[in-house]
Amino acid sequence: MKKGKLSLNLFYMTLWGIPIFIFARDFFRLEDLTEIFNASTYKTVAFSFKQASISVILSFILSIVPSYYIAYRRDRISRLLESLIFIPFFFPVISTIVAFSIIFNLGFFKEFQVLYSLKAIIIANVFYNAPIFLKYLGEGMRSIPKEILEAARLEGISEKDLFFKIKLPLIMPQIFRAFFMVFVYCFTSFAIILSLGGINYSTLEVEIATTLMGSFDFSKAFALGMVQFGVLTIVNSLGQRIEGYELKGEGDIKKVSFFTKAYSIIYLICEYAVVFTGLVFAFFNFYTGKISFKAFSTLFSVELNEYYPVVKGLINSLFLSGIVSALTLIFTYLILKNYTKFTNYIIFSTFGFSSAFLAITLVYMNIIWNIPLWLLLVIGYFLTSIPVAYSFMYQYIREFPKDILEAAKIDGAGKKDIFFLIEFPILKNIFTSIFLQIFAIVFGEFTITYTMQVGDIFPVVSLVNYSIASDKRFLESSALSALNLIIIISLFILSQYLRDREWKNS
Amino acid sequence: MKKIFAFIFVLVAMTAYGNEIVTVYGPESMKWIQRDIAPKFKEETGVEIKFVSINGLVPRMKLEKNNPRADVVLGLTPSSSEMAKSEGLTAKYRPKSYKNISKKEFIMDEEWYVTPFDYGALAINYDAQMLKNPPKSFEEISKMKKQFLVEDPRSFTGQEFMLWTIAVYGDQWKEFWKNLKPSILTVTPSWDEAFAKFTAKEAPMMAGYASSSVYFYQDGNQNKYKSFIPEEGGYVYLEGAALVNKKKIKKGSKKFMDYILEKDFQELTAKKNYMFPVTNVKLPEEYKYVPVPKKVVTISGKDAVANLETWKKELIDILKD
Repeated sequence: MKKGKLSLNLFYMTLWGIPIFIFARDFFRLEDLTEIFNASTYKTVAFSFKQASISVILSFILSIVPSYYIAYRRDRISRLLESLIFIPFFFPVISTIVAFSIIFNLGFFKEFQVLYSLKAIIIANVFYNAPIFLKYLGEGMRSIPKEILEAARLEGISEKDLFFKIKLPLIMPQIFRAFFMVFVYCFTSFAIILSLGGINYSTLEVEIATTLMGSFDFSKAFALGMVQFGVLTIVNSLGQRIEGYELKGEGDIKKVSFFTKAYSIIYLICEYAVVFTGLVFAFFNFYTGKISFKAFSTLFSVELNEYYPVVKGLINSLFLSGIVSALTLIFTYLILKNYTKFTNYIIFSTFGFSSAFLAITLVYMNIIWNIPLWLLLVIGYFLTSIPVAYSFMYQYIREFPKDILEAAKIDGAGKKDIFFLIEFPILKNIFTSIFLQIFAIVFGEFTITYTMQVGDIFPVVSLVNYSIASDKRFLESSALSALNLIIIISLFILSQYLRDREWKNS
Repeated sequence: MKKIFAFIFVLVAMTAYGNEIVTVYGPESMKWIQRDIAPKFKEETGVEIKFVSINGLVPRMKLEKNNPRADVVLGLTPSSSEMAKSEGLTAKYRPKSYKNISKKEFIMDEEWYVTPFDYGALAINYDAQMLKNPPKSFEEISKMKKQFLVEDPRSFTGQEFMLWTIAVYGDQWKEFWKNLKPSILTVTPSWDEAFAKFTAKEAPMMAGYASSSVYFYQDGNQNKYKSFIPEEGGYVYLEGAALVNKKKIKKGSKKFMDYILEKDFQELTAKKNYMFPVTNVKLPEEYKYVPVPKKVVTISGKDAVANLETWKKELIDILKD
């Protein structure tokens, strides 16, 4: 059993390790690792830390009050607040950039010269990532057993002390999980830094990508990748010291103060205003000054598809997303069932690995071993989806009522029976919801496919759109972007609906 | 028996020749080669073309150095072709049709490690509705505050724009950039980002291409967006094709290299690639909107390769300062 548990962890590590090892063997020079330790790299690491740390702290602070609302209210506002989790995982970063470019050019922001400054980076990072804290903090507080809080109140504790001395310490594992995720996303931020910050600001991820594609220096890019991996591994290992436990209580429903409600509504409006701006301008074409609804009809025309395989790209993307989501779901379930003390460490160590770099190493596998590109694409998506799926599924699999499983075992049920007759019926909506979430992430992914340059061999929709835009067919490109956004948001809404139905049933 | 073997040999050879596939790597913007060139080329030579879009040709060639997949690469600039040559990634070949090249200065490499097939000029694209009196020179641009979009020198357009200013100002180029800095609104990661910001009216000017005026015209936007070349001199950059250096170079690859200087290919270059052909073929009518430099400034490919990384670093330091 122990051997089986380890082999899954080893399989995951090997899948990551082989392409990186082979690439390093052929391109990496050890002296580059020593050469990159210079003032410029320190400055980049320091800036990556600075912007990530400020973003994490602000995201945490800004999400405390609405998390409190989520924990104690079950109404339309709390549902809308919870739905914000689609932003970091599904809302395309390009839409975020477009929205903020427009917002930061409005009078107030323009006066304060927010665009192309650190302020712009932080605001965009906080918008993008605060919903992660909202989810973890809200769910964490909601799961604090009522009995603990009632006992504390009986002891005469004030509400303030109750929050800071009891609730916050109790949800430390959730806070750390959110902290780690937000930190990694901000630390490895790429498009937001380049587009909203400008050349004055550079993170390690930006340096890796520009070294790979601009200076063509694979060895230096690899060395920078090692530094990034090292930094994130240290951050991750600090978090492993926090004792992991899951709260299984049932939250109270109670009245919240006027301030809490007002703050939560304002927060909600701010987040949705950015989403709305991004959505509206997905249909608007600046170059032509037209709204591009008309172009929807031409997207599926034979003439356009002869040159730009929109339909084929959609089919391939749906096929790839389906395969990857299924594989990810199965593997994540298995690895969570075969959990070892190293699992968290292994999965989260790979969380911040540069997607562009992973893609280059996978292309190299195709070059030297002729492994089909579509298969390498599946592997690339799979590897980058696992940490997200792991994070989504952790509580449902690890905290599945053990008494039920034990009872089934005593009754003589095998592993297969336990899964198909007990776990699956109970968790089917959760599985479907997570499947759809991974599906949406893979469907909208661009970095790996772009870096692997598979457009002519295995067109996927994001690359076809890039191809259309490169040929200056901006109307069709806007229409296809809008269509992608509609598909992704629909998948998210469906996944939320299934999850909510599961909660209602339970 | 010998006759049978000879017959089989001829049959096999014919089949192999008939099925010869030449893999061509080029930028995304040259995908028209697959649909507009490949069928004609196959009809004329029996050789199939398989075009693969690759953005970042030299890194990909470096990655494939020990096991090259491509036979021909299209879209090398003077600096990238020098880099490819110095890394031993390209092979020497002078096309049979080389005499079609209309000017001697178009020849990118005396040893023919790269063959030119088109050229274009960099220009300043501007929004004529926002900028009623556009500047005429780099000096005038540098007096405008936060109205200019330039690309990161680590991107292709940014790199060529940097080389343009070096060609104009020589040793004083860094001084020029220090003076230019207040006029720059932002440095975008690439041309696409700059164009998106430009059309969203974030700034009325961007560093771009003279031939952009062709599609401004095609889209009916010729009165809204225009291009000009500063009077200090225009910067012309050539695009070349090269055979990939591999153990066995296919006959079809050489035929394709010959073909790129023929009329059909050259005419399509003007129509589809928005670039000027290097041979004497008739240009489409819309090319009358493309500004032509009165004076051309140049920089040698060897100089560019030798100093490129240092220049980029120096410019980034100025822009970050």
